[in-house]
Amino acid sequence: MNREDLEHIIRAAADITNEYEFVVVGSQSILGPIPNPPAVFTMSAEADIYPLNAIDKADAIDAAIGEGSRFHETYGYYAQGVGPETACLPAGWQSRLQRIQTAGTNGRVGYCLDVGDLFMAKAVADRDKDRIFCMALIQYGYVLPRAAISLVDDMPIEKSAQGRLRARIKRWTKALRDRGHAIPDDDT
Amino acid sequence: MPAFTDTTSVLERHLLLQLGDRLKRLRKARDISTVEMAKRVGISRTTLAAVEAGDPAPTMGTYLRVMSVLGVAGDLALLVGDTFQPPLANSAAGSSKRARPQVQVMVSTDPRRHEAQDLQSMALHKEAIRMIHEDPSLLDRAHEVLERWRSQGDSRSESLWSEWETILENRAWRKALGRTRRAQELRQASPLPTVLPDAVRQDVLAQILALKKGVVLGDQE
Repeated sequence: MNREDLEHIIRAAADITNEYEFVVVGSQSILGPIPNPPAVFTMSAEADIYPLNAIDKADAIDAAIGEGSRFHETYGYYAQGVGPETACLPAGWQSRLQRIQTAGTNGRVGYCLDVGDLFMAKAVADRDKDRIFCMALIQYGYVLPRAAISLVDDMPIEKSAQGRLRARIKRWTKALRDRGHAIPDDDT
Repeated sequence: MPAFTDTTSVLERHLLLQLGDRLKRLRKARDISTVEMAKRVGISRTTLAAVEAGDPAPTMGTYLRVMSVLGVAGDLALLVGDTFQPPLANSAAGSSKRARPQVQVMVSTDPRRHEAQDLQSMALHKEAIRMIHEDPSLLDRAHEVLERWRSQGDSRSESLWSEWETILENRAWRKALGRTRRAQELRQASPLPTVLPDAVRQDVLAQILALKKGVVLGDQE
């Protein structure tokens, strides 16, 4: 998916729900802060989205432009109506949202996660695909390990889980350095 | 909330996925490697991987042996007992005048783990594959959709679409039905759900929606 596709999804979601503002979570919210990222970040054909002020309308998005819909069949990408609880995010993430509002969104607003917050959501989810996404964010310099580690205390998870998350970020950073990537923040 | 005594295909899939996840968590908590676990159970690592993925293919005996090694075979008491069933009319319990204890289990997806979305995608794919078996012309439709997507120009899904050509050609569905990262990526770029009739697709979405809200499995009256 590219930025134009995401703008199309925001526009279509607005038409379906008659809502004005949407939040994009999941990997494709990277297209907010980084409109043209390397391909490794945008292989997904799916965008997770929910209406900011009408969360219950997320199911209508799924039904109309979700996986297997006519919209999907026509364009090759689709939306997934989710809820805000889908992403586990550091405190204050709302104040760091990145706004998309263009002719492509028909003037409607899509709020994407800041890249650091996206990293934390993916790092705590820790599925195979999340690990690859997070390591690529560090590798390309979009996220500094030290900055990510400083956000761990703000994650709404237990202390023990915070410890594991910190260790995970350090482990990924070390693995990248071992592969010869120049990662700043030598103290991590 | 009404108690469901019949399970839907999506719910069955979800229950197996949860069982697989639980067995995997238990094995990791006991610090047993997959090699050691497969050896103790007397199965291959591939079969163990299938059990931990909640695959319906392994036999119930295999699931039971894995549970035994992990020390949770006793949980099967719930199944071999008649907890969920009314007692026979001519049994002591059946003639009791005391109210029968009500047992209900709430099953739902964990919203924090993208479970419902993953399950929905898996269920749409399973349904599409089932329908292709019944009506092979749907395979042509999947090919057409894929061809149209690829003709729309440069796309970052191209490598996945290219792999889909091979999957459709060989009907190699298992590649896209697993829980691996690659299988998930493939499902996100898949033409299969687009061949489903809208009513079938909406039925799957309705099952997922019910599961998100929570389905109660309970006594059969």
